[in-house]
Amino acid sequence: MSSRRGVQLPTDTSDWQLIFRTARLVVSLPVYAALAFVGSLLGLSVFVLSQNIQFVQDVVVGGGLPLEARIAVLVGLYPVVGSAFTPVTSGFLLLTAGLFGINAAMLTYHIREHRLGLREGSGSIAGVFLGTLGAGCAACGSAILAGVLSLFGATGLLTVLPLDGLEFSILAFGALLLSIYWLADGMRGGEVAGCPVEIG
Amino acid sequence: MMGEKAGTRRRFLTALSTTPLLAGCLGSNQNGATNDRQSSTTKNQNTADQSPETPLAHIAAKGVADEPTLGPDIGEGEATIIAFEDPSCHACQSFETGTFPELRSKLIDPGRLSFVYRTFPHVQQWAMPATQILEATYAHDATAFWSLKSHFYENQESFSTNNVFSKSQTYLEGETSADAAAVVDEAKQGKYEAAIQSDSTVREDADVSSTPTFFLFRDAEYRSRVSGSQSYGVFKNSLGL
Repeated sequence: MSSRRGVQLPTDTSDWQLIFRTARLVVSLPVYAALAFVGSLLGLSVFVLSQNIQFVQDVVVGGGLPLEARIAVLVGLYPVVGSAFTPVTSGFLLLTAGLFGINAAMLTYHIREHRLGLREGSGSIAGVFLGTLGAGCAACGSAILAGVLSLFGATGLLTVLPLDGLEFSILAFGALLLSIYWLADGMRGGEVAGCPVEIG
Repeated sequence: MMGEKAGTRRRFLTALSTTPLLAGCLGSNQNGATNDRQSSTTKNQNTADQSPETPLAHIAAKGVADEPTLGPDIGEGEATIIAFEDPSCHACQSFETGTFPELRSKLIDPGRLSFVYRTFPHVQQWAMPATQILEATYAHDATAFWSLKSHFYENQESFSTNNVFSKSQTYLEGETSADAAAVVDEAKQGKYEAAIQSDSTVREDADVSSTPTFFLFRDAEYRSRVSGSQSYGVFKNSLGL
């Protein structure tokens, strides 16, 4: 059983088993599976569309284009379908969005079924924030990324990032994984869908 | 090559704008609208120079008649894209090697789309000398400009501040009819600094902070702006082409 002292990190195999088992049990419930899917789509949309909000407003929401053209434009902004993201960035964005959806489902389950500590939810917020920064690297010197870095006087950092900003996507992935671990850790000893969260 | 504008007018304007005694003469045109490529104070993104040479009413289009353009004359085709790019930007490289060839073959060369290239060197240090070389090349030979621009993107990883002048000269000598030595010499002297500064001023007024950023116009009317290496379909569909 985990203690509540300091920041807890997944360190051994049993911690990773706990993460996968708890996540699997939560999304085995149809409502939470749907929530995870919608959450993933929402997360991906935040990452991608935040880079071109004005364009979406002008062309997809407003303007006089036929519906099929609006849909084609909207879909074309997303990774894999469009060309704004490299295969590696696309992979990380999709993984991060998927983790965000699972995180949202587990968070909702935890809120409804158990008491929720502040720490369990904080990782998902950090994940969305970092994921959005990572998506910003589809353009050199993204306004969002540059704006955030300028707060810390580190705008020049953009030119020295060895992975061209993919670092933020990797951090987002880590933050969401940590958040899921904390949620699973908070469910230790309990049951999800009639099954014990922790076995052995 | 179809639609490529000779750099004669730009050379003339640059020469004038770099001559202090005559610089003031560029401040207005027949309509009284400002046409000085070195100054811009308006922050209104929906109003801009409306001289006959720049029919697009948007701040990103200010002085656009002097910029490297492919396709039909600006405002005469169905649509126009004004692009802000950096030769050292990886996202611009992705656009130039992935999307641009399709835009060129399907929309620009058939005369439906005008494509304007504006500079925003900011990612790597070699981008500024590369931009100086591009501007000098355009003043000498518009065809060579487009060729050199493609060369920068196709070989982006091989350029640095140490070799950008020599590699560019070698390329211009071997692959174009431009006077390579004169181009590189003028670039080293910063002869076309005014043109770069003009793009920089317009970029700031248009609130461009990343590359590539594209301003989209349909039937000479501003439609929207989009950043990132977007696909051919995003441009085609958003412009209703």
